[in-house]
Amino acid sequence: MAKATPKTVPTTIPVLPYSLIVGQESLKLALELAYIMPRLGGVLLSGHRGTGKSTAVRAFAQMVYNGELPVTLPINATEDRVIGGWDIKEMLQKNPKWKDGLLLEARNKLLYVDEINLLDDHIVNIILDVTATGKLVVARDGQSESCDVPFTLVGTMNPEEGGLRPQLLDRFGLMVNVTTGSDSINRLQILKNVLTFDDEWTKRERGEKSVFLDQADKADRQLVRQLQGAQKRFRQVNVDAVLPLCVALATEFEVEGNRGERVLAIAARAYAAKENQPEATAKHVAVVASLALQHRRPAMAQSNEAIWTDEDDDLVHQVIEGG
Amino acid sequence: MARVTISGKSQPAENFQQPLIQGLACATIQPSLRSVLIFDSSPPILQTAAELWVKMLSVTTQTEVKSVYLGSADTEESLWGSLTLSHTYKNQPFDWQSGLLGNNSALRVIVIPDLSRISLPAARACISLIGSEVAHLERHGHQACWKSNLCWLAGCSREQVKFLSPHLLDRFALRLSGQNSQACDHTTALRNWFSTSNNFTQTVELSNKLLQRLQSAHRKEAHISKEALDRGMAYLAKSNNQGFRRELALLRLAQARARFSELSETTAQHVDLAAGLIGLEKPSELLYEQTLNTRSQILSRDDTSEGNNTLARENKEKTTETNRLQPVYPSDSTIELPSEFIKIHESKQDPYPEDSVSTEREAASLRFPPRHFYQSTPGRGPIIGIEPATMPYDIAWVSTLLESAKYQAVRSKTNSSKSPLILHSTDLRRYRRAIEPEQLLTLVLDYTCLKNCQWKEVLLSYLQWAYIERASICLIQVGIARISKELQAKKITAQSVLVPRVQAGLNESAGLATPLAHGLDLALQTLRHDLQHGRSTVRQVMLVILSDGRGNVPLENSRKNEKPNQLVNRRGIEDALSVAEQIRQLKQVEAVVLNPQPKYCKDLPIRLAQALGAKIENIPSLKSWEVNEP
Repeated sequence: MAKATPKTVPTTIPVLPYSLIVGQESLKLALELAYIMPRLGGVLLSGHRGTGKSTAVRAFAQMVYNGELPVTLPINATEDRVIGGWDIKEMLQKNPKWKDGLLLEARNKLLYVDEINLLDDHIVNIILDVTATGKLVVARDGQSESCDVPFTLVGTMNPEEGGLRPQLLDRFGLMVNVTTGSDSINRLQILKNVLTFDDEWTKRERGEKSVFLDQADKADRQLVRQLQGAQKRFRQVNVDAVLPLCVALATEFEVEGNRGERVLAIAARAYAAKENQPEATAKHVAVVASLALQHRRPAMAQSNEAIWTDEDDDLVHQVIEGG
Repeated sequence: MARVTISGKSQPAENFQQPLIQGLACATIQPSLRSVLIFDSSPPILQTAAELWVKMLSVTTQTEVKSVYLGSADTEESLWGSLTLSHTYKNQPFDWQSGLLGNNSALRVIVIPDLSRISLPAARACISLIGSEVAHLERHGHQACWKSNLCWLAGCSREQVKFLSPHLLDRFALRLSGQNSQACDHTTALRNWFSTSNNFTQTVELSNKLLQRLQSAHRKEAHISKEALDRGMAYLAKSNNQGFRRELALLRLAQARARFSELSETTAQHVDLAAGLIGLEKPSELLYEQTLNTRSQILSRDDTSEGNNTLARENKEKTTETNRLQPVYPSDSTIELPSEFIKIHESKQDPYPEDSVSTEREAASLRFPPRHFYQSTPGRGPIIGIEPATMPYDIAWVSTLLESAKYQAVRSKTNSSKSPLILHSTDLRRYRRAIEPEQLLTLVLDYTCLKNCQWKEVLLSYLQWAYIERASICLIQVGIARISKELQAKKITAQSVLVPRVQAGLNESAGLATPLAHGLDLALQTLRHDLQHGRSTVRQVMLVILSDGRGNVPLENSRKNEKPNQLVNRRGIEDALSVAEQIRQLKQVEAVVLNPQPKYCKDLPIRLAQALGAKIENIPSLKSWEVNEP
């Protein structure tokens, strides 16, 4: 297999800068934690239409990958583009050459699947196989090879159009139930930012200077530096003290398998690193508990939406206090 | 996929005040609004609108704009692209042919004449492309990422909205009504049409005035004021809208409206105008505020205007005169009622009907349908794409040959035979088709006999069968309440039991009449149609009848929807048995009568089962303590 070459992505596509996204704290936290520690296993953003899920993912990728958009697996993708296939142009020139698929292109990066619940079943199966083993095995068209493909899977979906299979749900380290708050001040600020961005982008396209966008770019760069610092600090954060708590929470929420408690511990550690703390505490666990556990509860099999209530938060605090 | 060519004499579009023209003009200068949904428009209006919009866009962008039509037959290959024979055979015989929506940043207007009839791949493409900052294509060795520059114009009847995915509808930022444009003198319109067209086609031209306005507004900028933002939020504060798309669309429309007014700032009045354009109701708080303002204006005008004073004096005198003629006595006590605002504006049509209609679409309607047997395909059902084949059924020959063509150069090097075409089994491609159910559950439910029996528990096993077998369902409701024709049964059909209207249909309450014969007749017609007509895909029918057999409406009366003039006696029952005998003649029908075990006429369900040649299953009665006594 050829080494994945970075995809050329036009930089002229207007994507709202990440620092201009107002609210959506859980969504932003999940993306940032997955960046600090890719081993978390990816993020699923589930929410109703128009809540800015796709914009947030593109903005985040653009921020952390120097203006590049994420490697995107669209719902129109065919199998050969996902796992790779012969380059047709080269084949016609009697020069057989293998062309890598998106899974390899996304190596050590973010693989974004928009409308993941609308993806064709056999493509979902391929992703499941790769995320389960961390290896891409190609055995088709006379090609037989395998290689490691570590990537951070980020999916967005609208639960109105059906849910995901439990096996695929479990592959996502964190899940966010994206909602738009009813706080009118926040809502107003969101509208302001989006409309101002429209105007300022037009200005920039005309070659004029935009202070508004320059400031946003500056804020983005600062955040990336913070996240990179957290990435480096991650290994130094001590997580031992909260491990029993992670197990207790996974048991209390009837999470199946061990993945839930592992992800919870990693997420708490990443959050502590982000907060520049030497040790993960119960407070860190409480913040990330819903992200790590909500989609692994038995109730999720009966519903397309993860429901995390105030009672669940109370239960988390009870377990923390009881421990 | 047809491209429309319109020729002939022109008709200038003058009236900017027409909501449709105004909406399209706003969408022309505001790219974020370039996904327009027109409700209840006739095909000619939509076609005219498409042509107008193409011209408006051509004028403002100074580029050639083409229109592309999407319909019910578009497949993934036709939309996104595929490998085809090269037109210029030089180095290679095949080229990647971009699809209708494929890798192309050129400005195009995508016209969808009827959104409710769009093919599944096209609906999925709409979800991917409309409103997205970037488009991605990853198909058959082809990879592309581009800034999509498509403008969408779709028509849809309000009646059909309940069958559409709200997720799909939400992609359309600007909602307009096609009805206003129809409200004109039809005779004059017909006369004009005859006088201007000699070849039954006509072109719509933009008037110079409109052209000037467009060009001027295109260059203009209008920043949104704080009060406009507040007003925009007030309009949609009470809707159950979770995202921000509607607020943004309203504000962007207001911004465009302000640019047409040649103002540099978008005010609350522009938001009001924009809301009026799409048919958004003004919130009652804003209406109250507006009334107060109007009242104070009138009062201040009264103070200054002599003429008005005179008029007011005259009115007062008249009132006094009337009062003198009709004595009025004061009440002994007064009650102060809470003030209520009376809406004096005409009612507008909601631009977001999906919020209020009942959901009747298929479950997970934007997903590719699941398949029972991957190894075989019935070779029926609309084509939705091409896929690799492992068995030689329903082969898509052109796609297979094109697939093999990619490898001919390499294969001919390694193969000594002189064969012009070397085909491998991995080249085989077959059509991917939407699933057509092969089984049908027909359920005749007599709602007047359901009291005091555990019918839901018994029925559940049949519904489960339908779910497992992916059978379509036909529910025939006999004797329901709140029905316009109570002497007739009602039929509900759906592709699967998961469709919400089936669930809603099962929960109807009982009415007074029992048109059992008509219900069975509807079942008979449905079965005949599904089993015997055309290229029907139904292979097996499960007919489940839940009734105590006590039909009390003769078939003839049901058909004419006339109340019987004389005593019915057993005619309703006998008619039902007679239709049941006819159903018995049909092959491939497995019938079951669910017997609610009535207190009286216990033999009727058994006679019905005998007439149908059906099995009989008794429904256990509810225990007395389980029955809700009134």
